[in-house]
Amino acid sequence: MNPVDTISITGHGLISPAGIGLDALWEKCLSNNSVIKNGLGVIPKSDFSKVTQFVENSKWCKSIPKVKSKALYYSLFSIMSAIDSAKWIELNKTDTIVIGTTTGNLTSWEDSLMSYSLGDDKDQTIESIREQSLGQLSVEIKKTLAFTGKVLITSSACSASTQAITLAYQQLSSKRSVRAIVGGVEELGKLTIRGFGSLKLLTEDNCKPFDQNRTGINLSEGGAFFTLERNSDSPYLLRDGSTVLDSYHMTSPHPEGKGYQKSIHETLELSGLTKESISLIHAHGTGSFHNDQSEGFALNAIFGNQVPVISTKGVHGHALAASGAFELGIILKVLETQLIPPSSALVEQDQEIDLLLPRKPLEGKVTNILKATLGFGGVNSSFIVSRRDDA
Amino acid sequence: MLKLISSQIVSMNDIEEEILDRKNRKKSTNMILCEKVIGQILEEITLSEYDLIICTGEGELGQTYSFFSSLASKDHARPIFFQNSLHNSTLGSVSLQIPNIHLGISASNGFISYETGIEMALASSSTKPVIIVGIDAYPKELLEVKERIYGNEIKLKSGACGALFLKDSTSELFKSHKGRVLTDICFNTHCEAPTSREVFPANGLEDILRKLSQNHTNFTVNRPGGDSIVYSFES
Repeated sequence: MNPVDTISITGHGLISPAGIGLDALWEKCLSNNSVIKNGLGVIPKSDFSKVTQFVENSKWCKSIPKVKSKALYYSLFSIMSAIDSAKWIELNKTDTIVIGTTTGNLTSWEDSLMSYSLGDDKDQTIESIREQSLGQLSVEIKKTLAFTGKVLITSSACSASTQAITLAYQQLSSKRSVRAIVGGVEELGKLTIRGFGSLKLLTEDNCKPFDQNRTGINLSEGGAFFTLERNSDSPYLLRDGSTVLDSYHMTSPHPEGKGYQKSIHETLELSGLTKESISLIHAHGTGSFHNDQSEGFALNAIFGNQVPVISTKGVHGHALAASGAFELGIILKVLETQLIPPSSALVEQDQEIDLLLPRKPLEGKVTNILKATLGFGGVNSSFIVSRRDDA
Repeated sequence: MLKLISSQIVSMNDIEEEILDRKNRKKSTNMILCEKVIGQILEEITLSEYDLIICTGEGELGQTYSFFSSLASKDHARPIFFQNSLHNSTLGSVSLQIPNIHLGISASNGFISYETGIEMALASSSTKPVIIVGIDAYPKELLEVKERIYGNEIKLKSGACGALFLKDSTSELFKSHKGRVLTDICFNTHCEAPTSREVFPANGLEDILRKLSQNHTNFTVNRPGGDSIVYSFES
């Protein structure tokens, strides 16, 4: 990349269990007000209806999607909102969309696959199974937007959108794309709810990241997308990031966050920043015993206990592949307002987690924020967003 | 640019022994195929560290089917099928078996999954060698279903393909190995349907190898599903 080139975040669109738009989520985070009910962060049907209307009435909608999946509409809503907020007037072949997702249009096909396994092979059942391929999400997004550029999908579990954000950055830094739209999407379904349940990782209580009495994860859903442009005057600079594998266990992180630490070190090196220049760390902080323990050890090993660390999953839950994108939205609001929300739902900090976890909103100069994520399969991803000096 | 150094194709016949091996009983077919293809590449060349991009159109179809089959018939969610059902479980499993993997990406994009992996590798800021694997395995219960979905023109197979690419043109490894250099890949939509042959969604490497064997340098490949891919190799 040309050393004078910068890559900026210029627009955003988001739907979460906190409501429609980034401000709804930010308000809940700042007030530490959880939207989790019965252990899950579910987007209400009324919000889904509004999103559907928005999408189908948008000037960007060139054909009404036949598939009415939540993941598709969360994606389209967030993408269209991001483009609107960036004030783009058209989409071009040189633009790229990068998506992080774990299960794509999950609820469109999971019941059909179950029915089929019991002997139902009606045409409609078979046609629904088509949606099992993640590529369908890309096909339907392209078709709805009449988009002629590239759509790329990464599916690295809970790290997917964090990784996608770096992949999109690299599309611009390598000059393989002129602009990018990047984010993540996830919809709740039987696969994830029953699957995580089978691993005994879920709690019906509200999750408490980094708390002594944390009991597990709250799954949630939604979508968040962002526009990236080169050499824009946007105040939010995205920097290169890194993904490193633990090579330790299929579902548990390395106890000392080996790959997580390496990913952060690489991200600092790639961005040309020192650990001392980091003003805030937005951690993965799921509320699961092993995740928080591993992450706490790793962050303390790199940063000590003087840099504020937050998890906001106690407010919005864990939207799996979309979580990194949700949290990028929160990072933008921190940089805009120079307010750090409390680390969510924290009552009694785990004594073995030696981190500076704010319990109330903090004011102060926030310049560089590190986002770091862990995922099943031992995937660790991180990136840094900075506020421009002259902003 | 990506210098293509080594390539391997693995079919289901090639992993008959591994499938029967008890030590692989918790692995999916994708995982076994992937280990095989990477193992064959690493037999040819020793790498101290490399990036790995695993591309799959269908993901862990067999494990996903087993999860839902158990859920439908017994209302029982089996943890092993869930953890193996995630698209990146092959990446996670392979990273436990084969050392020295650094960056890991799990790409999935229907019939252009392999091409998506190449695009990510071209844009990546990493200069490490990169192995790009394409992989899809159909359980017998779903092969016919998928063929019905994709239409009569497509005959599906299970299998894996993988290639080692070098990125750092200043490295000794790059200079000392012969290979064709890929300089660009371009995605277009709305192509004509390709001629009928056995495919799996992430088998895009097979198209590249076929064209290179015919001494093409700049060529277009039409993929099932309607995308055409334009490749530019140095002559």
